[in-house]
Formats: sequence, structure tokens, C-alpha cells
Amino acid sequence: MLVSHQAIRTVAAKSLALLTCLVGSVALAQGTSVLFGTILDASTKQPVPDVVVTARAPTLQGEQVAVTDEAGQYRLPQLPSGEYTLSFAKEAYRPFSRDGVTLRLGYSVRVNVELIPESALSEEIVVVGHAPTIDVGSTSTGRNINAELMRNIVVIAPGGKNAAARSFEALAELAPGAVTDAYGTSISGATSPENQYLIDGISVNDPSTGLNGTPLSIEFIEEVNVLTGGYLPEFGRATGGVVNVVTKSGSNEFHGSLFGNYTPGAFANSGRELRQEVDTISGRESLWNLGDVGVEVGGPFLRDKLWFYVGLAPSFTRYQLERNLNVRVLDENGRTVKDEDGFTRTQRIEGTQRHFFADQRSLQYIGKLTYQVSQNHTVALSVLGTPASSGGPGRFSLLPENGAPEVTVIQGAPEALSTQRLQGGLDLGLKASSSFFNKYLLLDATLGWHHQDNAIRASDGTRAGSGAGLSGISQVGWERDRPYEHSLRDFESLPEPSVCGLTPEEAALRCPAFGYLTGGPGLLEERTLDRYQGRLVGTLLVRAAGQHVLKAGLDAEWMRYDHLRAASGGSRMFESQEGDYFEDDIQYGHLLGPDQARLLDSYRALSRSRTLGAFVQDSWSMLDLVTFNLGLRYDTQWLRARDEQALVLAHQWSPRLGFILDPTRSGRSRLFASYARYFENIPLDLIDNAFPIEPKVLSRKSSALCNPLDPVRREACSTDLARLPYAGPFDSPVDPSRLWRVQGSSSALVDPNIQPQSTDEWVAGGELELRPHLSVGLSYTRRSLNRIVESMSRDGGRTYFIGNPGYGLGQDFDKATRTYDAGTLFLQRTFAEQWLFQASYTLSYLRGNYEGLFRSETDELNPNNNTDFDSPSLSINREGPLPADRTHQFQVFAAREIGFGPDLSLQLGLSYFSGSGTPYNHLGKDAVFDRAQVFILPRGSAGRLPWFHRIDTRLALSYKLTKTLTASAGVDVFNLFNFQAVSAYDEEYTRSVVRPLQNGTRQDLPKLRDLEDGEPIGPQKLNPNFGKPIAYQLPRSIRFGARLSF
Amino acid sequence: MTRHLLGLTTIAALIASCDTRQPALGCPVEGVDWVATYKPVGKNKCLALPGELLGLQKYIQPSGEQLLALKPQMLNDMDPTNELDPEHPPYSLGVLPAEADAEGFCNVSSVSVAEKHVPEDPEEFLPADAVYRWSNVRLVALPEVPGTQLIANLEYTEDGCTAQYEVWAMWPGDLDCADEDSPDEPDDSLCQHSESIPPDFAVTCDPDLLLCVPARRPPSLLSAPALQQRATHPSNSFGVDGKNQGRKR
Repeated sequence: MLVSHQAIRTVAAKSLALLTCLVGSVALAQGTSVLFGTILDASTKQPVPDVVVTARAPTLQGEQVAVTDEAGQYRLPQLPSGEYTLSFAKEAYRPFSRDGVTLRLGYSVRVNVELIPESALSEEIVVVGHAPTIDVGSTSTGRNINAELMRNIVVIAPGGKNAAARSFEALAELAPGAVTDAYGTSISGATSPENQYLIDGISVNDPSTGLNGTPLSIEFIEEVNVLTGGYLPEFGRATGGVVNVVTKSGSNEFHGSLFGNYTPGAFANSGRELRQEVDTISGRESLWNLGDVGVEVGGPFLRDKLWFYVGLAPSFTRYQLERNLNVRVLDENGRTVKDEDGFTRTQRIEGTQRHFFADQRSLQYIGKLTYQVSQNHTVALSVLGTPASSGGPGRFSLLPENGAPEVTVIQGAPEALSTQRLQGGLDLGLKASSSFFNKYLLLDATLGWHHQDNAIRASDGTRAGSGAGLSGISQVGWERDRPYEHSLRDFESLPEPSVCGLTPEEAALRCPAFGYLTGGPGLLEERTLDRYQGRLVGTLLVRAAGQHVLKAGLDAEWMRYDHLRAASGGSRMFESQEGDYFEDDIQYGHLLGPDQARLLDSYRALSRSRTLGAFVQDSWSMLDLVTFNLGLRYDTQWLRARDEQALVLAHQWSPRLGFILDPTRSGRSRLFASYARYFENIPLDLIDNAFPIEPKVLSRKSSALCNPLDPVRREACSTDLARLPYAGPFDSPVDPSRLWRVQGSSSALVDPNIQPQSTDEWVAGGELELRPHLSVGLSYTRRSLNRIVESMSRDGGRTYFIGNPGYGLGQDFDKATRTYDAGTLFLQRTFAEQWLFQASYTLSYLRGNYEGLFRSETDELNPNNNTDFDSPSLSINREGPLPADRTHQFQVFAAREIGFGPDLSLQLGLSYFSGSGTPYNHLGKDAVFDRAQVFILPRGSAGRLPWFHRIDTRLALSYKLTKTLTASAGVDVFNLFNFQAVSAYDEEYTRSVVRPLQNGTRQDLPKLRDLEDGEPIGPQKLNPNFGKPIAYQLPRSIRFGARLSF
Repeated sequence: MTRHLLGLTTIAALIASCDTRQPALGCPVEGVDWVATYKPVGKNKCLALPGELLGLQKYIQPSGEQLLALKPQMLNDMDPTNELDPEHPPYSLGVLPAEADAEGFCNVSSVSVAEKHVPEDPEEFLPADAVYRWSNVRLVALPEVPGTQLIANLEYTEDGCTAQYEVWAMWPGDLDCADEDSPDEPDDSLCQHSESIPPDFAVTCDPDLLLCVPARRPPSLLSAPALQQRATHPSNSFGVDGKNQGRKR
């Protein structure tokens, strides 16, 4: 092939110019799938050149054409997924067309054809039947969720994160071996923030945590490809899986729909009641309702030239929170009584039940324009938005991380525990795709901007640091326990106060209110997050000892995280044990010298990251038999705090090697193996929290002068007059300051030899098409960690350094380990002849001492800055089965469409999930790092949760009102049989400070001692709730849906 | 064409590969409760002061200037509530530089004198007058010793008798090493096996203080600091052999 240097330079220069000019936009995928094959003469079996191959599909704007070369080969790249019809035409041959060619996102499907010569009309020539569906171009594993699967099967749980909006990220759990974790879906043993979430080629991960930042409704999505492994260097910056989403686009026909879904709380089972230690304040949450309505439409502005797609879908969620006050039952000696479960017996106080709501409202919108400049040049512009707001005056909000109400038990004044949470999500994308030289050279340029505005405000709407309304009042935790605790009577008016006894001492015994919170909402924040991305990819088709698809790309991204935080009222305080003072827990500020405090109303951190990367890859197929995928990716990430360099993760060389063998030589089988190294792109939360560590100055305020409950004496709490010196027996005598203690303010040190975090992966497998549309396969994946990047401390959390545990400065820490081994057996019957069936079984092992970017035992989501490696002493007993270790997993999906005459049809869908239980632990308190940080026995030795099973069904009836208008109504049942397996046990064995029993067993538990008093841990120091359920599977719920589509 | 794409990739990689060093360490100060062991210099006629707890704290001024406060336990004990001699603060203040010198020391300049003059109290065995004059205060700022050791000269005057010392200080400074069975005797193994001390620190149990203190002149490490070694052995900064030898001492 002859390609002039000038032409390439011009194209490259134009693309670069486009990239440079349009920074601030995002791009959307035009299509990454490929149809290719060889055309032979049916009588001579010789290749036929110059055959015109035309591809058409409802999802394809216009049609795509290619011409076979002298070897009879054709290739149609850059195709969107869909159901294709291929037609083949050449003079002197009978025209031939093949429909029903299923092409999935990112797949390379071979369609070989034998053309019958006109001259051979009399001969009997058998032409091979259907088109294959196996991706013979890649080694990737995972699941492709296309329109049929979404329409007929998928039931998104009406509970959890973004449930009302029916966000796409829930679809990741459909991948074989995927495990639902605390913040999303764990893929190949990695935690959910390690996944890459791509919408139309643009990363939408939250720049601070790595979670999905754009919870887009599945209504606007054409297809989702969940890659669990074996992917090429064009996908990078993720050590988990890749959730690759393609949104819908307009085509030459007008299509659209009006839809609505509603889940009434009344139809939802309330779930099994949790038996827990009920204190004087108890509560529970129940779903009130959730649902969404929406409209979407796409079509041509200019036929064959300009298309649009728009959609809008508001959604809402409401939970009811019930709050009850109880009084402890005392025996004749005035002591508390335990029930048969070991819990303190309580009795509800009549007339104290109150109800609250926790609300969320969100809006989803999408707008997309696609312009075909010419047959070879396409530009697409898209905008997506997912704003949401939650809570408000007198209401509670939902947590964006998991969709649950922010509190279940309202252990204090509602205004001290409720907040308003705002989330603004916006994505802009611009993508230009061009092809040159008869599609031998392709260029794709993508620009993207992902933006989030998140805020936590007081429930009255006042902002962090404003000092107005509730944000001007300090939150106080009442923790006096000597000579007696506070009682409810100190904070609330009871209908009959004598129910708690007649004296304060008696009230403390009957109605204790330890830990009661009053005042304002505590920590508030305003966050702005941005990611700008630019990507330029060139694809070149070359013939040299076979067919090469060479790809090279540049990939750049900039992230920015502006985080302002403030404690309401300037500080958050806790009462001392004796009740003689209140000590700050949060008070932002610096010391300028001994006892010279400079207090801050709020603290703002600005973190940035820049990642530059490039990749080359070659997919080299020979003799229709074997394909080699060879690639290399390079990335360097620079992280900055304010204007100073904080951390550099350089030279992330990630090789990807794979080979695919098709013994059938016709695209009906593949044997594959691959090796890959994946690197993590560090989210900005680490920089935000550790460069520097939040500067705090803490002091003690005498309760003789400071009374936070009294609006007049509350003012005194922030005066120097009220401050007491740190002169207790446990206070340092040599601290130059007597009135103030300093926390944070210094930046974490960085090991000069720090290496980026990476994981290695080996994948091998095979897939065979047994019958048309039916394939079986087997795959094996192994992933193991190399180094990780984590914060470590040698001084009990006072100062930290960032490095690689087990290496360099962190050499005295254990190396981080996480090894995942999984074998998956699957059977796929793609949707044809009105039915579909898919089943998979995965056997997996996940072992190590490092869970990933969060720590589920304590709900810490501080990527690369969790407590796991904060102290060498914490490493004892940490090795073992990790929280996402589900040994056995089954998934079955089935769908059937039944027609009753030409206009009426019934769609039935069923999915079945089942899995063996995950491990749990015996956890204790560390003297420095607090509760649930010590693994008393080796990880996982407490046992495992029981198996879970879940059957979801979909039933929908469609009626054709007119030729183009269809109405449908349906009902989704989530957890049809209302299985109620335990999904979490209380892992906290004791709340006393203990030292781990290294390699101990349950028989050793009696040896456990309380480090504070040296006494053995007796029954009174054990958590009575240990090993008891704290969560069950989501109960059955029913979602009604209706749709009008044209 | 291929060459062009490869070339473009290479250029990008080259651009990306520059400036990938981690930020400079600066002059960090870890912890507050340090321990100092005082090594007499020359002949001292006074009753020797073996060492004591030393409080360190860094303060950053709005101008960016960094101050370091040093507060010896003696001055705290003489006047715990600062009421007997409120005129004199119990600490010295010096100026900490922004960066360490080539050898990894942050040289603290302009260190003020700290003193206390209190009425005699025979029961407390504490002096009535004590004056600390620090000089040559050098904080170690190496990756292995990131502001956790310090060396200085001290002229200490107690009730009129002046002595010169070299000060070796380290953090953490509150690690007891009194023998469990005979509490007046040191148990060096407690220092050697303490989880609170980085394993490459050379430490010993001070028989007078019964606290773990630097065993060598700071930087008190079992092997030479890796800063110098790194040029030739980047991945083997901490010799295992060196560690064992040190521990057997």
C-alpha cells in the first residue's frame, strides 16, 4: 500500500489541531466492532477479488461498504454493534446476502462466504448456513449485554445505588464471576473502584474515588460490554474490569419511547427483621416508593447526513425512617436483663414513635448529534447529565455510595444527623472518526469532559463554612460515662418522664443516651471534580505474512478535585468521660507557634492529576487460523497538591500478549491465551487527604463555661477562656503547646523509589459454536498483584508515608497480596427464533491480605490510603480469603417471546443468580486505629456466609397499536421467591483493644486479653451481636413498567 | 506510516518520561515526644545529665518560614503549669530550612535560649535554675530517617554549673526498655524488637533513662543511609546482613 507521508502529516496535524482546539469536550464511540472474512468461489474454492460487500443494520447510520482484495478478503471496521445484513455482489456471481449477523461491541466476527458463479447454475453447491457469533479477534472475557438482554431479562434491583435511575453499572454483575461489593461490582477479584467505566469511550469514573461518576439510565444505552480480562492496551488505567457503554444514536428512521416504572413500597416485602442490640433509641428503614418516567427519541435531521438522539428521565426514591424510644427493663435488683439472644431487654415507650423520610430526586438526560461529513468522516457530539439532590429541611438524604438512607437509627437530634446532598454530573463528548485509503487507515479522535459537583450541606441548605443556619452550629457527641451516663431526659421531652425513673442516676440506667448527637450536622463539604480527556487512535491495516491491524494511540487526561470542607460551627466536639470538658474532634487550623492557633472556618484542598500515555498494538492474523495480539501501553501519572508535585507514578509499561487459534478456520471456534499487566490510575482522594493531611488544631473546652445545648453559653465554647491545658496523666508533658494539640498539616512523605500499582493477568480458554447461535466455552483467569501503593505509618498514625508495602521505605511491612483464580464454564444461546439462553458457572478463589481500593470491614473508601498497611502490627492474620471470595457462582438467563397473532406478543424473562457465601472474620479494636482493625484470628476463619439464590422475572405484554406504534406493559419481580439469605454478619468480636492471636484458632479465643486492663476478654467484653446477621438479601419487590414506543 | 505512528508514540513516551522524580523530602519533623541522650563533650565537672524527653514541634508561618520548637522535660518539670516563671517559656525556637543539605541534614538556625528560674524545692530533686543553649541543631531528613533523628550541641547550665554535650535524639521517644523482672535494669532486646522503631534504626536501651535511644551518632542506622548507596544499588538499600549484624550487637 502506498500512502504519502504528506497525507499522513496533514491528517495527523488536523487531528491534533482538533484535539487542541476542542479541549473541554468528550467523544463517543462510533463503533469498535469488525466484520471480516474471505470470499471464495464456491466451485473452484479460489478467492474472489473485487466483491462489493455492503453492511446494513438498524444501528448503523447509512451503510458501510468494502471491496475484497486479491486474496478475497474484506474488512468492515468501526462498526457499531447490532444485527447486520451483509450483501455480496460481483459480476458473474449470483448476488448473495446474509442476514442475522450478530455483532457485539468490540467483537471481530468472521463471516466467510462462498459465492456461486452464474455459470454454475446447474451444479449443486451447498453454501454454509448461518453466520458465526464468536469473537475471533480478541482474548477478552466477560459479558456483552445487548438490547435483547436488557429488554427481556435485566431486572435492576430496586434498592441500592442509583436504583431508581436504573443505572448501567448494575449490569456489571451479569458478567460471569462478578461479585457485588460494597460500592459496586468486583470484577476478577478487584474492588469496584478499580474498574474503568467508559461511556462512548470517555472515562466517567469519579476522579476522587474511582467509582462510577455518571449513573446513566439503561434506557439510553444501546449496549454494555463488561470486559473481565484479556483486553488490549487501548484499554488501560484500570486494575479491575472495563465496563464499556455505548449510548443509543439516531438513525434514518424516527424511533423513540415514553416509559415509566414504579416500585411501590407497599408491595415490597419488608425483609427479615434484624435482631440487634436495641438501645433506648431504635429505628428501621423501609422503602416507601421509587420510580422513573422518561422519554427518548432519535431520528434524522438530514437523512443520511445528520442524526439526533435525545432523552430525559426524572426519577425519585423515598424511604421511610421509623424512630422509637425504649426503656431498659430492670430486674428486682435494678440490673439490666438479657434476653435469650444475649441482648439487653428493652420496652418501647408509648407515644414516642416518629417517622421521617429520606428522599432523593434525580434527572437523567442525554443529547447526541451525529454528522456524517462524508462516507469516510463522521463527527459525533454528545452531552449527558445526571444531576440529583437528596434530603432537605426535615428530611434525610441517601448516601450516593450505596443508595441507603444516611442513618437508620436516629441516635440524636434529627438536625444533627441529617444533611442535604447534591450531585451534579455532566459529560460532554466529541468524537471524530475518519477513514482513508479504502478504510486501510482509520483515525479516531475523542475529546471528553467529565464534570461532577457534589455537596453535603446542612438539611436547611446552608453550605460548608458559611456559618449560617445549621452550618453555624457545632455538632456535639455526648459521651460522659462517669459518674453516670446522660439519659434521654437530658435531650428530649418524653410524654411521661418518670418512665425513665425519678433520679438522673436511675434515668442513666433505664434510658441511657451515650453517644447522643446534638447541634449541627458536623462535617460538610463542597466538591468540584473534573476530568478532561483526549485520545487519538490510528488504525492501519497492513498485509504482511497475514493480516495486521496495527493500532497506535495517544491518551491524555487531566483531573482536578477542588474540595472544601468545614465542620458546622467551626468544630465538632465530644464530651469527656467525666463530663468536665468538650474536646474538638475536627477544628481546622494551624499553629504558628506554641499555643498560637490560627483557626480556619473551612479547609480547601486542590488536587490535580495529569496522565499521559500511549499505546501500540498489532492484531496479526494468519491463514484464517491464528491471531496474535501484541501490544504495549505506557502511562505516567503526575499528581499535584495545590501547585506542588506530590507524587509521580512513572513508567507504567504494560505489555499485553495474546493469541487466538480458530481450528475451524471459519470463525466458529477460538482457543485463546493472554498475558497482560494492568496499572492503576490513582484517584485524587489520596492527594486530597494526604498532601497535606487535613490541618487540625484541637483543644479542650471546660464544661463549666461551655454548654453547647444552651444558645447563650454555646458562644463560650469557642473562646480561649474556656480552654483547658492538656495536663492529664496521658498528655505529653513536653509538647511546646499546652492548650492545643496539632493533627495533620504535614504532607505524607513519598518513597523516592515508589513504583506504580499493578496487577498481572493470565487468561486461557476456548469457545466452540456447537450449533447455530449456540456456543459453549471454558476460560481460566489468574490475577496477582505486583506492588501496591498505600499509606503506611510507623508512628501510630501520626505521620504517614506513601510507598509500596514490602519494598523500599515500606520494607518492614508485609507485601500486599491478592491472587484470583477463576474457571468459568459457559453456554450461550444468542437471541434467535424468539428465545435466548445463557448459563455460566464460575469456580474462583480470591486470597490475600489486600482487598483493594476500599476496606469493607470498616466501610473505608480511601483509595491507596486505607488502614490496611498503616502499621506493621496490623498485618498480623490479614492473609486469607478476601471479602469478595465467592467460591461457586451460577448465573442463568433465559428469555422467550411468544406471539399471539400479528399484534400481540408476550415477553418472558428469567434470571437466576446463586453463589456460595463469602468469608467473615473475628475483628477487634486496635489501640490506635480503632475498632474492627485487628484480625484476632487469621482472615476468614470465622466461617462463611450461607449460599444465596435469587430469581428475577420479567413479564411484558406488547401490543402493536399501529404499524409503528407499540404499547407494552410489564411487571418485574426482583427476588421472586423472597429468598432471605444473610448477606452480612457482625464481624466485631470485641470492642476492647486486643492484640491478634497470630495463626490462632477458635480454641485460642479464651486467651484473648484486653490490652487496656490486661484482663482476659470475658463474656461482658464480647460483642453480643458477633456472628449474628446484620444484613439480609434484598427482599422481594415488584416494579411495574409501561412503555409506548415507535 | 507505521514508523510515523511508532515515532509519535515514542515521542510521547519520551515527553512523558521526563521529570518523574518524586518531590523533595523537605524538612519534616515526625512526632512530638522525642528522647535525647546527652553525650558529654570534654571534661564535665557538673553532675552529668544522661538525657531526657524532648518535645519537638514544627510551625509553618504564613510566609512559609518554618519554626522548630524544642522543649526539654526538665524545664517542664521545674514549672509544669508555667506559673512559677511565666517570663521564660520552657522551649527554644529556631528556624528550620525548607530543604536538607546534600548530606541529608536540615540545619536549624537562630535557636533561642530556653531557661527556667524557680524557687528551690528540695523534695523534687530538680534544679532551681536551668539554661539550655542549643547550637548546631541538625535534623536528619533522609528517606529512611524522615525527620525522626536529630543531632545537636548543647550547653547546659544547671544551678550555675555548665556542661557541654552532644545530643543524639530520636523519635519515638517514649519506648520503655526497663527489664520486666528487675525494673531498674535495661533490657536491650525490648528496643531491638520494638515494633514502633523502624527495623533499620540502630538503637540501644539507655541504662539511665530506661528508654530506647539512638545507638550511633545520627543518622543512627544499621547500614549506611541508602541515599548514598542508591546511585549504585537502587533496589538493595537495606542489606539484610547489615540488619542482622546490627541486631546481634
